[in-house]
Amino acid sequence: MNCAARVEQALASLPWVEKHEVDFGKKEAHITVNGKFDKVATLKAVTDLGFGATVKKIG
Amino acid sequence: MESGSLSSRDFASYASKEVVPYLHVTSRIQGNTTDGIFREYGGTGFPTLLFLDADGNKLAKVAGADRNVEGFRKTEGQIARLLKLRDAAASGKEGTDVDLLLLELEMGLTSFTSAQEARAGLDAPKKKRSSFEEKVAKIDNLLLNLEINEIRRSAGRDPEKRKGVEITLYEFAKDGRIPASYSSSFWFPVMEGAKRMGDATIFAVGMKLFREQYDEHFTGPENRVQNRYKKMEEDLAKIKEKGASTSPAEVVKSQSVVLAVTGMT
Repeated sequence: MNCAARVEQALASLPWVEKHEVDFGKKEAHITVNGKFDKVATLKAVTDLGFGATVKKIG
Repeated sequence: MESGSLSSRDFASYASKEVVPYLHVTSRIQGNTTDGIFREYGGTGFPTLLFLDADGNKLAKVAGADRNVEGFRKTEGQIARLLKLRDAAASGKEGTDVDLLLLELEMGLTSFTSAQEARAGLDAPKKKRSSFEEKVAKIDNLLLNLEINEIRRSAGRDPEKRKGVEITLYEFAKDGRIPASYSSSFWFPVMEGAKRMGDATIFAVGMKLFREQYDEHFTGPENRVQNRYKKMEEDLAKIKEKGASTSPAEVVKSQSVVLAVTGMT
C-alpha cells in the first residue's frame, strides 16, 4: 500500500472524519470533520505511520 | 570526552593538520571577559562543540553522536554544502533559499526570529513546486521546535514564567501545533498546563504518547518511568473528579480541515 493510501486509511478510521482525500502532489490531506473533531488524535493517527503532520488550515 | 574520542591518534592527526582547535572553559571568574562566549554562540550544555570560520562566525554545531573524527568530517561535509548554498542564494539562484533555510535550521544555525523572517520571504518556484512544499513543511516542523525551545528558554528558572509557558504550550497542543516526534520537554509542560486548565483530554494524549515512547520500561521491575506513569494516572483521575472537560470537541459543526503531511514518498 502506498503512502497516500496509508494516510487515507488512518484518517478514515477516525470517527469524526466524514470525508477524506490525500493530495500526494501537494503533500496535503483534506478532511471534513464533524463536531467531535480531535486535532491532536488526528495528527497522531498520521504521525503514527511515520509521517510528519501539522494542521495547515481549518474552515 | 577528552579521555575518549579526543585522545585518539586519529583525532591528534586530524586536529594538528586540518583544523585549529580552540578550547574555551566558562569560568565564572569575576572580570573574565570571555565568559560570555558560551551563551553568545548558543551553547545549551557541556560540552558544546562548534566549527567556526577564521572570523569566528559559527559554521556548525557538532551533534552529540558526532564527537569523533568521522563525525567531524561529516560536519565538514555539511559546512561545505552550507557555504555552497549561501553563495548560490546570494547570487539569486532560484530555489536555493529554501534549501539554505532548511539546512541552517537542521544545523541549528539560526534563531527563531531570523528563521521566521526567512520563511516568510520564501517564494514558491515555478518548477518543482511539490518538492518546494515538502521542504517548507519540514521547515515549519523545525520552526515549531525552535519556537518551543525559545518559549521554554524565555522562562528561565522563574516559577511564575514557567507556569505561563505551560499554558502557552498547552494552547499549542490544543491547536494541533505538535512536534513531529515525541518530546518530553514539550509534553511535560503541556500536561502541567492541561492539569491546571482541567483538560483531561490533552492530559491523556500526553500520557498515551509517554507510554508509547517508553514502552520497553513497562515490562520488568518497577522503575522511575512506571512510577511517573502511575502519578500521571492519579493526576488524570483528579482532573476528571473535578468535573473538568473531557470532551475533545472544539468544533461544533462539520467543517473542512487541511493537514500538511511530510515524508510521503
